[in-house]
Amino acid sequence: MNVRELLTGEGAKKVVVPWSDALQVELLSISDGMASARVPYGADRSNAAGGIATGVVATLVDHACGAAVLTKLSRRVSISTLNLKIDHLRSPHPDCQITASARCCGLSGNIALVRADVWDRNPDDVFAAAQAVFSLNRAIDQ
Amino acid sequence: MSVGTGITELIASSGFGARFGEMIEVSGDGDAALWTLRPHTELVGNAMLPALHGGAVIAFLEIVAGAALASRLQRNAIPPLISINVQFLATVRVETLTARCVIRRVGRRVAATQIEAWQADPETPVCAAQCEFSCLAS
Repeated sequence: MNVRELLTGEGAKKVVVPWSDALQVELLSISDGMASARVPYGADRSNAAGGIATGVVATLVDHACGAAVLTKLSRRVSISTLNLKIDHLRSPHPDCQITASARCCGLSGNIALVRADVWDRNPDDVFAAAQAVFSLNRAIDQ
Repeated sequence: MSVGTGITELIASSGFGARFGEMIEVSGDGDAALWTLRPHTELVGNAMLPALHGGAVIAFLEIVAGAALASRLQRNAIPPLISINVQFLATVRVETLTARCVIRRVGRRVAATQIEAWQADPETPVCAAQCEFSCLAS
């Protein structure tokens, strides 16, 4: 299954995610179990201090984590977030884009575990970390 | 305490709050306040179901929890979020979502809140979250 095509491609097979599109979430890379995605800075996505708001961070994290799970699946299955925990170490820098790097740590039965780091200027300077559990639901007709 | 304009302005004090807060209304006071999200279709995450995006649901829960806490603390800014732990209990449909927030503890440095939201039946929440906020004046 080509996850990149599903998430970014055109046509009937594309997974449409209106809220991610509305916040300009951009999928950067996809590989086995890994996904990274970015949100550019925008005034309508900012907190009172001028950095990107935590609600936008949550959307980016959910999107990147879901994409990381999809890379682990051999066929197209609908997934849903069971739980998601996000810890914020600090607010992102003002006027700065943010990037989430998610890694699907494993699948077991109908459950997938994902971890994600979120950074702004430097991948080594993480400002938020997240862990999520997704449930794998029914297969989707191709 | 009068909710309404004060809280609406508080939520709208950030760019994202202004954008998202347009969909949020509040009625009642204190822990009895009910917060309502009337979602635009842009909040959809899964177009097939259709269902709200998990990130949009989280944004709603944390804005409500932050605004409820700011109101309790009589602050004119939403305190910074430290941590949120969200549980999704059922598909969140693209319909009115109503939330109730309970402030569990307000300490000198940290406050803890519990929030849950439902759609058709208040006894059957579709999502719930625990949040911790920094209370240090920013």
